Amino acid sequence: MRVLPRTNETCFASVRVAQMSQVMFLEATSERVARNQSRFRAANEKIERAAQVTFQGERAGRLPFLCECPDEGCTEVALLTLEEYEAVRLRGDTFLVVPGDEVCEVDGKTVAEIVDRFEGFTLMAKVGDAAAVARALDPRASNG
Amino acid sequence: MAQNEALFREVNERIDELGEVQQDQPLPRDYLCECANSDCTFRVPLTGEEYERVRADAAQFAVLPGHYTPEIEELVSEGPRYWVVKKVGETADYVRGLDPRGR
Repeated sequence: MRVLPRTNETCFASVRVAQMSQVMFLEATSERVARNQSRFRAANEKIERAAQVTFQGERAGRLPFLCECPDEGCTEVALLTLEEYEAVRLRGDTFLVVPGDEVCEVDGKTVAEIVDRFEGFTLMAKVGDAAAVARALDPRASNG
Repeated sequence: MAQNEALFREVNERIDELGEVQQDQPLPRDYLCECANSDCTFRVPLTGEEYERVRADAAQFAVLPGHYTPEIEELVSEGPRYWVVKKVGETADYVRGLDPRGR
């Protein structure tokens, strides 16, 4: 079989396709990570509501919230006061993770940065596309 | 103490909800120990079927072997991976009222 030499045009087209695929892949990664973490955030919102019903104004101490790291199978728990949890939820692009689960890069793409470390949890903020998706999926924003 | 168990049950319900796609897996999954100690974050391995059996009675909780407080609950069953405890009397009514599945 004779292999035809590739023209420059073909090469450029190949590079463009590869670049576009990479961009689409990275966007998909950011979106997937943000969507997954938003599911855990939604679960934590339900836990907070349950805690409010359970304790009804009593001092609740530290309560269990699920780690919101990008690992879909993570069931680690961070203990936060309701005030600390509310501080995490002030912004639609911030998440809580247990110490040690601070993932800033997924598939080579930066998806988050560490905002602050506390005794029982780390506050993280999504960046770039992941931040936009996280804000769009913020249940508090959609409730007005 | 019953408040703590009720809240950890809530967290486990959320873990169960998040893991629903893998519900058909016969292998145990890690749930949180639902004992009376508010600082306990140990894991209790349960299959989906075992977890559902515990949840069938809203006064029951799954705890690690030994994480049982006889002053406030009775022991329903003992296994190598987990024990099932049950609230009685007024406390049972209280935790039934907080049952996420009853909402």
